[in-house]
Amino acid sequence: MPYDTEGPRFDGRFSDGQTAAAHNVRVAFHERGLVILRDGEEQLIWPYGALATAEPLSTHAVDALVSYRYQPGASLFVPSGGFARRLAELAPHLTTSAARRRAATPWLWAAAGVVVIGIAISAMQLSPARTIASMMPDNVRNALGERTIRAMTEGRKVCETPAGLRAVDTLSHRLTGAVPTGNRFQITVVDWGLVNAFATPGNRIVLTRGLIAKAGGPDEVAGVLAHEMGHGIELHPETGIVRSIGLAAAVELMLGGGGTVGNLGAMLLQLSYSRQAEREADERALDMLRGAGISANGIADFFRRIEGLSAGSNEGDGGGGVTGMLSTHPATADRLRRIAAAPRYPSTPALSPADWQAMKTMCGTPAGE
Amino acid sequence: MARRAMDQIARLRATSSGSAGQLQLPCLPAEAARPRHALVTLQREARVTAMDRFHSVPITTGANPGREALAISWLKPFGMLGLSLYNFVMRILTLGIYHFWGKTEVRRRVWSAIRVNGEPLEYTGTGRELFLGFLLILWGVLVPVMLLSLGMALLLGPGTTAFGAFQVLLYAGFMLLTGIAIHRAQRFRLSRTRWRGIRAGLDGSSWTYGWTYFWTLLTLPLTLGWSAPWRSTKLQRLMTRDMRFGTQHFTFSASSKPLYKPFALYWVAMAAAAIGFLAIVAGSGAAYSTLMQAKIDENGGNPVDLDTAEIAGLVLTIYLALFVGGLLYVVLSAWYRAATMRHFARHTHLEGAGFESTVSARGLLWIALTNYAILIFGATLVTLVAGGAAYAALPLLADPAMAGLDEENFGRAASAISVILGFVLVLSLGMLLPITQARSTGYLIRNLSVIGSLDMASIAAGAEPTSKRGEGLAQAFDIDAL
Repeated sequence: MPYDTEGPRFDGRFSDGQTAAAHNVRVAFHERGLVILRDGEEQLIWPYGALATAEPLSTHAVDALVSYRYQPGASLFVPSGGFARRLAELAPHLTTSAARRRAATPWLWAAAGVVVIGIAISAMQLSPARTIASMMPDNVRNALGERTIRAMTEGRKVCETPAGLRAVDTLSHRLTGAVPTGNRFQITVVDWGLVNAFATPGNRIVLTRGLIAKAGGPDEVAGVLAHEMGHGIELHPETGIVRSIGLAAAVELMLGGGGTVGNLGAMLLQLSYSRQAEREADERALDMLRGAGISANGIADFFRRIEGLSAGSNEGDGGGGVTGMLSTHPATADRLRRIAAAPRYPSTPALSPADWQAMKTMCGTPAGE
Repeated sequence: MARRAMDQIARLRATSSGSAGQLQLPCLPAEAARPRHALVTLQREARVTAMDRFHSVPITTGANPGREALAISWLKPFGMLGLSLYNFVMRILTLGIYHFWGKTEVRRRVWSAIRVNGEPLEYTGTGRELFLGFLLILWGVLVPVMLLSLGMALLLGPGTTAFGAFQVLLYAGFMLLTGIAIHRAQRFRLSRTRWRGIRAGLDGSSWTYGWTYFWTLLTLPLTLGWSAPWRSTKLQRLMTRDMRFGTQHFTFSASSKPLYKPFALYWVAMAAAAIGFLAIVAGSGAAYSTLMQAKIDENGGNPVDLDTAEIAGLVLTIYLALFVGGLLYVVLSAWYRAATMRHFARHTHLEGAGFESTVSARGLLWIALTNYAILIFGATLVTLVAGGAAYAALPLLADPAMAGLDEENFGRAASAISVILGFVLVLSLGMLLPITQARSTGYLIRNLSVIGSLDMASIAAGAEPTSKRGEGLAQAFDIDAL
């Protein structure tokens, strides 16, 4: 039945979607829908709700290409801006703003949800990286640690005079004897001028010749070692690796690459722990030192010493190494104050003079410089 | 100015109403309540009407009543800058996910700007399809590959020969996937392109294309690049012969022979540039290692750490070299690329219609260089605005009177700001992509014409269902996410 249409009629081109031929038609707006008047054929009515346009309708539209859900393939092209604007009024879901709102709204809510969850996680001090790290089986942690140590010691000598190893062992056992969690550490001393110490996954620690040389006595080495053990007990190296792998993966995925995440050694060298992690490691270290009856002043002395060194020497001689240590372990006033505030207790030197001498000379050269 | 446009419209209206009653401008009640930018809209209407007067009349010859000559034209899309900015903001607010919907709107506008006999092409793809395709690639390819290479790195150790072999295999796999992805993406775009309700499409196997892409790639180093014209002709032939409009297949008849002259010029220029470039790289590399050796000697044979300024300088140099290299390629290859496009177009046919392209090296270069400038301008603008805002916000956060953050929370806020800033800056490089994509497409379309005519009534939609049914995983795997 023909629909009565008042108001303007528009010229258009109609294709039925069966072939690429097009026919001239007249188009009019009816309250029930778009009416398409064809020569010699019955007229079509396309209800507004089931219409779609090739382009979202904007106020700048100069034409409209319309299709109808229940007549797939058929299309109607009306080269008239007036038609497009009238259509936008009658079928508001075809406008640019409606299309954008439909597309964006669910994702805006989802993004808001993600942000809220993220804030909640950080407010509750939950760390997903740490959770994953704590679920890592021991053999994975050991494999990671071994990999890292190999990467760090590549091209460098590992110091292993029997007397030196015995001294390191003695110190390590003295410290871990007081740990309630029962962690045992494997310590490697490397012939490396850099002043630094690293905790790696799997309860392994690397000490450098430079660090032993710069230390003023066994208590200072004990302090640094206890601090690194603290990192190990708190699973900071594992957490750091999980986090950087996650970050690297996220960045690679975002940039559309699919390369490799394999450079664990370099990753660990670049890890720097948060202030909170440093505080946790310090707390563990202070507990350990107290349990072992070693003075807590050593660690504070050591940091003051290397801070003085880096401030005093600008010329090349090991200066880079010292700043390296400071950049991975910032000796903030806050940290030193905390260590100084720890209660006093009776203490004995961390190593006997003979053991200390053995440790200082374990990399061949008398490490006094 | 506005007066002149109005006059022009009036004149056009007067003339067009006389011409066979075809598509005259309707001037109707809505016209009175016309909103802002009326001038631009009027000008566009004037252009589209002028265009339609010439092209939209079916050419009915005595012998073939269904034949129509084809005219391709470009109606510059309006509001691409606004769309760019809108998409950019929404990508940030939705943590990147809006990307696929933004891209879809850009495509709908760019497709609509391409007119064949005055009637627009239609893009029927959806943001959802692009998003699903991306998810499939993410979880089906990228994440497994990443886990695999992580496992391999742990198992074999980074730096070992076995791991090196694994990486070579991985890259080969990616090359193979690249060809497949090119074919699939083309299929995705074509099958979502319609004109007069008839869908285009791509038949054939993307594995065949991917494999050809892969093995011919291996011939490039073996022939010092001289297989390139042969290779691109071969790939273009495969692709074009798979293409169809409705039931009508495209044909391709080009040989690679005529491409060898422009290629030889390009090859010689590239070789000269590469030698110069390598000399500079080698020279600066040597200077750098002398410098490092001097430092190491100074440090008593111990390796030295680079300070931040030195690392930044090194990274900057590498990026600058890559940029200059890329620019050299774009400039030197322009003549060869233009010749290839013209050659391929001339040998592409759709039934009775042939194509003719008039792209020139100068035109390609102009578009490419101005597009670079536009993208860099957008990124710089965002960097200045976002960086300035962050710079202004930090002291406010540190000020106890304002936000009252203690040292620790200030550190957290600062790192959160830097993460957001990084995200914004990564996205900013693509901010004005809609504009540059429209410009490139516009250039190619303005330089494309059709010779001959097409029997429209003989082009059928084909057996392919035109409904939205069956858009499951199988169609989503016609990925277009990469």
